[in-house]
Amino acid sequence: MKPAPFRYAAPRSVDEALGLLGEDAKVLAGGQSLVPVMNFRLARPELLVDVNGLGELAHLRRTGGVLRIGALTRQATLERSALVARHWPLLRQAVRHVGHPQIRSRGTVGGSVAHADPAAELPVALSALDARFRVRSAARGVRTLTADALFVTHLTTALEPDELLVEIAVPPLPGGARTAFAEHARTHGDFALAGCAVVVAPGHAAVALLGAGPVPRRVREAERALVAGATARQAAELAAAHVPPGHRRALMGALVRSALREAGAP
Amino acid sequence: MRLQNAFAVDAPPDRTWAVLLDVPRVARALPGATIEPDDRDGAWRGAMRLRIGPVTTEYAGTARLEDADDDERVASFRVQGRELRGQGTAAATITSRLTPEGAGTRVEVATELHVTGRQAQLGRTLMQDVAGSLLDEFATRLERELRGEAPEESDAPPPGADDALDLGAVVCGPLLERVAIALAGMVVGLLLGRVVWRR
Amino acid sequence: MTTVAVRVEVNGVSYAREVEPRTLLSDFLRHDCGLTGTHVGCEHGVCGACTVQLDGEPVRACLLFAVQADGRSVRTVEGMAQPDGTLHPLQQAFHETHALQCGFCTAGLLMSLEPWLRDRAGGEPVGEREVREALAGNLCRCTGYEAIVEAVLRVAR
Repeated sequence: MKPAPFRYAAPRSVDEALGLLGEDAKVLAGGQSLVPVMNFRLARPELLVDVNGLGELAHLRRTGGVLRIGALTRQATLERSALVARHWPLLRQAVRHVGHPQIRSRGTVGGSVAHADPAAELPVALSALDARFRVRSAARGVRTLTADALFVTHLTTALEPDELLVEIAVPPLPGGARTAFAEHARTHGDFALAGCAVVVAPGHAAVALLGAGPVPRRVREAERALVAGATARQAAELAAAHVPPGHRRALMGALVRSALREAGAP
Repeated sequence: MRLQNAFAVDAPPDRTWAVLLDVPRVARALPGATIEPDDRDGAWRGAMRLRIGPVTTEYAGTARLEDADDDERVASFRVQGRELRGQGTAAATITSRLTPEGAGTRVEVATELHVTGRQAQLGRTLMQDVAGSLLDEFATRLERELRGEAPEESDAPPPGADDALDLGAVVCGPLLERVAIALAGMVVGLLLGRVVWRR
Repeated sequence: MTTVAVRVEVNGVSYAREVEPRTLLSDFLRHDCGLTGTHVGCEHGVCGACTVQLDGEPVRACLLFAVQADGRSVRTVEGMAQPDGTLHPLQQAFHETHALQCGFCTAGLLMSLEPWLRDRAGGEPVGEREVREALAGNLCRCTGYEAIVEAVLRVAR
């Protein structure tokens, strides 16, 4: 199938892009989620705002210990980055599960976040890392959201039609932290049925679930238990309780247990 | 293939870091390179012209800054290119790390270079040596740039100009032809990657 | 029907054309450039038959608009063999191991595998498991993948 006709704009600055956004416009970044939907004609935006020319959004930079991921950073760039591998290994562990290399060549970190697919890996990993999401609009300037505030439901974020996600800020991991990402999909690169991103450190733990609802879910009780000395098995049970009983709960429990063990939980 | 080189410049790390991330200034230090003034989709398109004796090889490709660590002054660049009159391609990840050395800066360059085509058959030692010489040349020019002594040209020389990288002085004798083939693959990675792109 | 002027370099040759914004790169290559080596399978990024290289990186041509390739460099399967007809080592290996039957998925596989092998050259040895993982983005209905894996392992050696 081919997409329906649309107007196309390729702004050269963020300000120019913001001026174009509105109800009838869709942002085109990597296009790996949007274009299939357009090809099926399930989405027929009136105006496509191609943000790929906004070099100012393509940075991947560590400053003062904080990782600033420009929204336009390609998933492949995140995967290749020695900086990310060294200081935020969870992101590399997660991004390797995103689609296939050809998808990751074009797909962007910002796009994955803004698309908010419940089976997406990066939102879950960023949630586990307490990332902050910076969005901009022409009318209201910059606002910063937590993952809980940003991810509303299936394929829906708190982004207004005139807002553009510009940057994701990830704080440094605590000293001695180990991380792991696990997911189960029917084939490599397929949409995940269940998954998790975990961080285990002295005095700190993060457990974020993929597939336990329409948005990434942090399991606070499992995190508190881990800090108090719970085993991987115990914490995994607490996490899996968020999934309806049966096959999916067993699957989630196994994934969380395995990830926590990999991250050094007892 | 992994290549390691290092050189020192007579400027403090902060200033060297700023220049490293400033495309036009670094481009001025690159003999034989031309770069378009504006990036396209975050990548800067460029060309590299190499002359070794009678053999001239031209490469075209892109380079982009992939990540930068302000805290430890380490930056990674991704460069890819293709031979203009041939089937060879190359891709490289070039990581530069700055450390203070006396009053100046030590620049360590680690290159992960991958080539396809006939250039793929070349010796690592040969590449390492030639890379070393090229970086020495680059370092000298960069140092002049850092001291503000470089000529005030806003554009790098256009392709076809005589300012192609001339490596006649670098290697000689029976090695010359082998190097001509070697450099086609290798230098696109090294030198295109030395150009840093403004965000 | 509004059109846009684009100039795309494909396999070293510059193609200047007028296209609608909605024209996919896959259709641009096939219809506007006459390069039908790139095949269209699913048009939603799953099958991999349309994979080409954009500035050296493998991408789905069905998920790119031609206007996005304006001023950029595309490589298709037609650019793999030498002008005198000598096959690229990957093509040669595919030929030797019978890694293609109907050939529909082949161009996409070659375009995907070339950069994958390139980025691994001189690194850790390539094993069957890595190759199978690398193939996950390309579907083949004919061969069952065995011969494809063998072809890749031959080139990787």
